Amino acid sequence: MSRTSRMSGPARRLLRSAGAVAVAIGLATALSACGGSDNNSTSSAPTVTVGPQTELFEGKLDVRGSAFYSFTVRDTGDATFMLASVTTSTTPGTSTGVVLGLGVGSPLGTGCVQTKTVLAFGALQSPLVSNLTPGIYCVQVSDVGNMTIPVNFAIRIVHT
Amino acid sequence: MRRSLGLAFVVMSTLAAAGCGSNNNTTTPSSTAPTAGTTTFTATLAPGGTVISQFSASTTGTVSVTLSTTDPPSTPLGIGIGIPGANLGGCDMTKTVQTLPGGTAQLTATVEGGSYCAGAFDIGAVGRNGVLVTMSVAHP
Repeated sequence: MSRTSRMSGPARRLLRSAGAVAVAIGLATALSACGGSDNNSTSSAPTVTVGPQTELFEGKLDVRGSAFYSFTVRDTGDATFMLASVTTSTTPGTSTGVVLGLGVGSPLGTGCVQTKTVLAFGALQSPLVSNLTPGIYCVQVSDVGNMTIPVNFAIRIVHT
Repeated sequence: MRRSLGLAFVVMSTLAAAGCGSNNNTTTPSSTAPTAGTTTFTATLAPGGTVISQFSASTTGTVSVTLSTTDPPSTPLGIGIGIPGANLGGCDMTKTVQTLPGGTAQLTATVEGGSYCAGAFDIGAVGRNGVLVTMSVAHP
């Protein structure tokens, strides 16, 4: 015969209540253990950090011609523009020292309205740096009168 | 009954603790920063072809490109440095020279941190069997 079966009715009811309390305490303890760390910390949405983006603008530039490329800046920061390659299109791969116009601005209609320009030749350093706020911008390369034959060019754009 | 209730309490607490343990499964992100060094590569250059190697500069500095040897020896070639792109063999050349192989750098260029490429290309002297080219690129 079990111990409970020997108990009186009120005693059994008391024990059942005590059991219910014990179960409730157990659940409360378990839940508070999970929730405790959250309460002691500052919850915040995860922050996703996106590094600078690199884009490549390649093309062929005709004598007295120009070409532009649009890109989107997502965060305020410096954008750098490297006229990395200017080679003759007749003998591929042969670099030229021709000086070109390089500018940054905003696209308007079918063109690029430049707000900052420099003269540059092919090099692995960025001659043009501009602090840009989020928006759509364009980089333009153009013959400023120095070209005698068409050239292939490549511009590396690094922006936020 | 008291014993079974106590057991239930312990089981629930254990399960709850196990459930909370999932927060420990965190992974620390890792990244590899480029470091200064010298890249040496050997490849067979086909007639009219290009051999290119890519490297990363860790900071601003000077890159030195050396056409060390060719086989057949003393084959004149074009060598260049640029950025990875769609032109010559996957490299948009910035600076090129025509040279014979030798022990000192035939081409130098100042770069800022980033990805670059260097290589050799045929300027008309590579025979139908090709040329075995060994180059080295010292970068910041």
